[in-house]
Amino acid sequence: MNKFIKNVGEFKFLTGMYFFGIVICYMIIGLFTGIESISLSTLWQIIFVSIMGAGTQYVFFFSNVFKKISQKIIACTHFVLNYIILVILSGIFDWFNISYIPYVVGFTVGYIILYWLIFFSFYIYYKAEGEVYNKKLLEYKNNKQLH
Amino acid sequence: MVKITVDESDKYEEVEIHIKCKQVDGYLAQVIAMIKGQEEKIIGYYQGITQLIEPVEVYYFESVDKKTFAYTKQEVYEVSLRLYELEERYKVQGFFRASKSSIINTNKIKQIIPRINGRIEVVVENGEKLIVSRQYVKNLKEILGL
Repeated sequence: MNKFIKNVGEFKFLTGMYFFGIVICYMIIGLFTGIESISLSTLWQIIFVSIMGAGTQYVFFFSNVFKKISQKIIACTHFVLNYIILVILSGIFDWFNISYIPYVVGFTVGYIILYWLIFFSFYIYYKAEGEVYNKKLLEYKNNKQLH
Repeated sequence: MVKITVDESDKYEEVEIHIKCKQVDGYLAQVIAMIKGQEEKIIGYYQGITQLIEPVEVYYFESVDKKTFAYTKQEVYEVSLRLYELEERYKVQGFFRASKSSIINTNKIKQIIPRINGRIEVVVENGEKLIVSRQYVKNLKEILGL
């Protein structure tokens, strides 16, 4: 039961992060396109996308489902699966005409740039965190040797 | 620096260690525990032979199918103690709980690699990669003073 509550908490947090991120992006785009409000139906769509995004991220990176698989394979599969989900949702919610190739190309390019930008940000963050850990580990070992 | 004085003489029947300090800090507590820990070698079983293992030689402990194993540079010993007992006993020597089924010796860690999912991958000196679960990352942070 505790594990279930913990998992629900983590999933809720992730969904919230996705929701917040998408709303911020929407607001920034709105600054350039002149959109000043979000309709209720758009909000529902954002919630749905947030749940889907958080769901795939949770399953791929947070759960133990793919524990034994290499991180690179997981990241690539997550990248492709999310793309497919977003294209399907684009068709369902009519974000753009998925039969019109230039739109699909534009969406694909945008998705690739955004995904790898986020991925790269995480990479830099965890690399820096790793350096802090290893520095502390070295200090810990040196401290033990000194004494 | 710690000043160490060894007084060897035939007049002493037993070994006595006196520590003179202003206050027992974390480091001293660790030293005391380590001295005491020397008496507590781990009893390991390898190919039917009982052997005494120095805790400092152990890279990590792992529980598999309700059996506990100690992994050293050369051998894998089965030990009679449960993980929680080992955790309690050797915590001060730098051992920490890394997951429900493993305890890692911080002194044997070669590299720490944080992962995107909040877990931490630890490479020990023999090249083996171990995972520190999210819920136990705080143990490692605590030992390293993060």
